[in-house]
Amino acid sequence: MPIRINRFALLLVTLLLMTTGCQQNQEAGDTAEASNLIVIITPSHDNPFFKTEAQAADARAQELGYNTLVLAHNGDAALQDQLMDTAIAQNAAAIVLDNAGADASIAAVQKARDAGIPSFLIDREINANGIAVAQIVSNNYQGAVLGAEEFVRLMGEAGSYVELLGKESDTNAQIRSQGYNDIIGQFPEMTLVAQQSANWSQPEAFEKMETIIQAHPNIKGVISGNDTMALGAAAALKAAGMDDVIVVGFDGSPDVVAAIKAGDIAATVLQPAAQIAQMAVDQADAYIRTGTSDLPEKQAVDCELVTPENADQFGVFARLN
Amino acid sequence: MGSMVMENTSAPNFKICHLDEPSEERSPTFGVSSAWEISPPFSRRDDTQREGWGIPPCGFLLALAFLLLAGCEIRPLDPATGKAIIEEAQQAFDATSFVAENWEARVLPTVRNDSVDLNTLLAALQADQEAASATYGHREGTRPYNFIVQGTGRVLEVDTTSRAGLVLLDLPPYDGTSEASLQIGPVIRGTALRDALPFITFDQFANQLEYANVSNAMHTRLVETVLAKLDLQALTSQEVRFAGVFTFRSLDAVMITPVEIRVENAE
Repeated sequence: MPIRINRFALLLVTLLLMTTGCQQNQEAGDTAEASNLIVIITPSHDNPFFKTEAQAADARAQELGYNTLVLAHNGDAALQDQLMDTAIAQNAAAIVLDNAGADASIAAVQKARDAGIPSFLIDREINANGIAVAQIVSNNYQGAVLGAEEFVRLMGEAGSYVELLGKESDTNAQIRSQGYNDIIGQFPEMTLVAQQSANWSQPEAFEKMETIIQAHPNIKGVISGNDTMALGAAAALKAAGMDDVIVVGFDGSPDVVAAIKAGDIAATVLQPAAQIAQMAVDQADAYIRTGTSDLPEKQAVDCELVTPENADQFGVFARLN
Repeated sequence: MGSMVMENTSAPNFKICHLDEPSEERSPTFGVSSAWEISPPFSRRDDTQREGWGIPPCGFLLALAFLLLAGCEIRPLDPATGKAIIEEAQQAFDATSFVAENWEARVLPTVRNDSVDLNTLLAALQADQEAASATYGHREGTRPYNFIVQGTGRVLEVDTTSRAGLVLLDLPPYDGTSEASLQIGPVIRGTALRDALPFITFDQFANQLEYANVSNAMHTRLVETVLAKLDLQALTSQEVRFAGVFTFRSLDAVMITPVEIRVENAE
């Protein structure tokens, strides 16, 4: 019996020794102190939302005395991977990233971490905790609930409607859809007649909406996962002479705020894109200087409902002061 | 497998060969998961089998250790469950169970015991919103403050025209105007109940979906166990005692999600 215990102890010790190699990722984090570069990577600036967050992060970083490198991955995880390699090769002090997919981006962020470069994620999450230093997102669920509640109110809690979904690989598309349906699903007289993805795209939403209108000419409302798709849907409805259909978007883009003022779109939910980008840079700055962050990794910033009544209070993805 | 889970004391942020063992760990950590099972000869045996097995040679043990770790990779742990985050585990987060585990044990006691009197709070907010928020409120980051309150009020109206039903309350001194409302469902707006509780934070969950599901599961539980049982007709014109939570938007829009409502004089 005593011999067997010793053998067991030996096995335990062996296991412990062998797993010490698993710790290196946790400790790699202090090799980039010489660098003064913050690399900012977002999806394509064609969408004003991403352009705004990239510009806001860039401006804040320069204000704090950093050099910056602003790159776009266009939603392509392979391209994102190359850009992360660029950031690593340039020995960035920190990376501010709006990522290209909740699962596909985990490895890229891990790679930067392994190279000792902290990542500060904005706008979108990855499906892993403890790899990025911060993940700062809009409170998409709270925003979706705001949008859906307004949509239900405008619909009089009844009628046929269409939902346009965002890109499936993006957690934000799922969370907004869930927020919409959690609210709308509680109103039995609201009927979802079509639910389709237009992949965040305005032309795709226009085409999808044209087809949906053929099959469902009596729809009363369209709720969209973002503003570019809402603009596409509103254009298709206008072309079909269906001006009175209620369209609700999500993002708070300047085009949609203008469309709300013009009466073409009923409401949207403003994401504080500029604020989130600035928060990420401020936290990156603190982390570069102190080597640590005392804030939780996952942070959510609340969204605001934009309607014809308050549309003049909003600027470019931010409330005017 | 249970007997083989080991805590590495020199690196408390790591768990080794962690597969299915529940954990008290709340902060995001790394774990090592292995696809290998420990086979019976090397796990602890009961006394009746003791004489039946020989002692495996040391080299064999080392080889086995290699094999065990060959399948290892680094995984973050899901702080809500303490399990390594793998696709199946992540989808398996069950908000309903999470709420069931916490409802009687933590949610209700916190709302009952950590509340401030609503009239006291509203007066303090009126006088100095920032100071009152810091004293009585709870929030994450820059999001709006949430308050846990209890109090008494007279029911002016039970409004069920919307499925997000409301009881309009006149708070003392009674002047016939409504200063606050109680959400009576079946649709509950907002996420005040989740957000007012300091022991439930966004950081605990893998993503916004899980975090949102927790709020929804809390509302389902609230409607089923409390609000659906209310006799709404008996409430009108009565004085009620309530305990609940709200997210502060403005003093004109105090909408409380109650976890308790009872008619004050009903014996």
